[in-house]
Amino acid sequence: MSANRDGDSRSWVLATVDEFEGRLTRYAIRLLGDEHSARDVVQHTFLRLCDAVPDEIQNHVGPWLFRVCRNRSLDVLRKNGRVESLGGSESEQLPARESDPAVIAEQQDLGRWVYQLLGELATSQREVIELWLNDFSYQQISQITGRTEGHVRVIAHRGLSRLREHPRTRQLLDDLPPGSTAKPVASARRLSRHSSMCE
Amino acid sequence: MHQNDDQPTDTDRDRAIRLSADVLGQLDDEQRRLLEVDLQSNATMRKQREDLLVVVDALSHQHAAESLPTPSLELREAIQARLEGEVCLPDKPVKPTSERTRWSRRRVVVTLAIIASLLAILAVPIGQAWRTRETANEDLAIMGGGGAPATLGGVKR
Repeated sequence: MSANRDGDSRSWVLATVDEFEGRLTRYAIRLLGDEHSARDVVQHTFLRLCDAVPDEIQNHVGPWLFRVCRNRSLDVLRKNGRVESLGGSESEQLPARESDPAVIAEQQDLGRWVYQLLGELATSQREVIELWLNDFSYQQISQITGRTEGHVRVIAHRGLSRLREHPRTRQLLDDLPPGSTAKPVASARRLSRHSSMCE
Repeated sequence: MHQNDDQPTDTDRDRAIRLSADVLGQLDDEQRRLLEVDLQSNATMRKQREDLLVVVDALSHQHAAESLPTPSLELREAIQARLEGEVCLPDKPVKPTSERTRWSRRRVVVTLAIIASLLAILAVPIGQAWRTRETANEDLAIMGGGGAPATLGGVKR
């Protein structure tokens, strides 16, 4: 009986690793800025999962993993004296990188541009938007980051506004042919997310 | 006081926050309904929403297209080892040995101190009683002319 439960628990841990390792590692790399530290943090996170009681976290394993990963990343940043970068001011100015024609040529694509710009947002804004990109709702982001849901709303709004208002983004938006609004796939994703949130 | 029209009011800000939440699919039905009412009468907001949708969609596509970091063999080995109980738990908070030793030492010292105090308290009356008995024996020996056995209480038979 116990062996059976151990076997179930083991399968569950391994399945969770398969499901979340990539996303978690990418998130940690974004937070820490280097892959080696990120892999260490992710390993710590999954080892904590091995010690966890599946029944207690099965329903929210995603937010749980990201929260553990985030906290460990903060510890690493603190240890390296880089913690201020996570608490970074939300009023940071985004760099205007429009002087280099080669860079401009590479950034013709709006997606590539805004994704790159995302990495230059204040850390709190970047983090909230990235968690959203990882399919977490505001409520789950609030659980992961320890911020109130209202604060998450405001941070996400500020981040999106900065992305939209950057002169280069404005230029790319203006260059888009009329009527090229939301693409069907992403819209469907947005709506399915909305409906799953309302469940 | 005259309010500058260029400065967003709280309501404008709240609407803008709701707009972002909507674009990210985070409004419930009632909130969406209210937002739709606002949008109908506000062309600027409609344009903002349109732009935000494009930005968010571009972001989502780029994020989905980005390849994830490769799975780590080392991670899987570490997890297998942990699951099979081969590895002690380095991340679990374990009390430092020195602290535990310090506590057990303290416990021993306190116990010894209590025993010593009890012994000291008991030693005084025992010592006094012993001394009294010795003195009484000596007195009896003197009174009985020496060598004669004395009984306790000095009664001679």
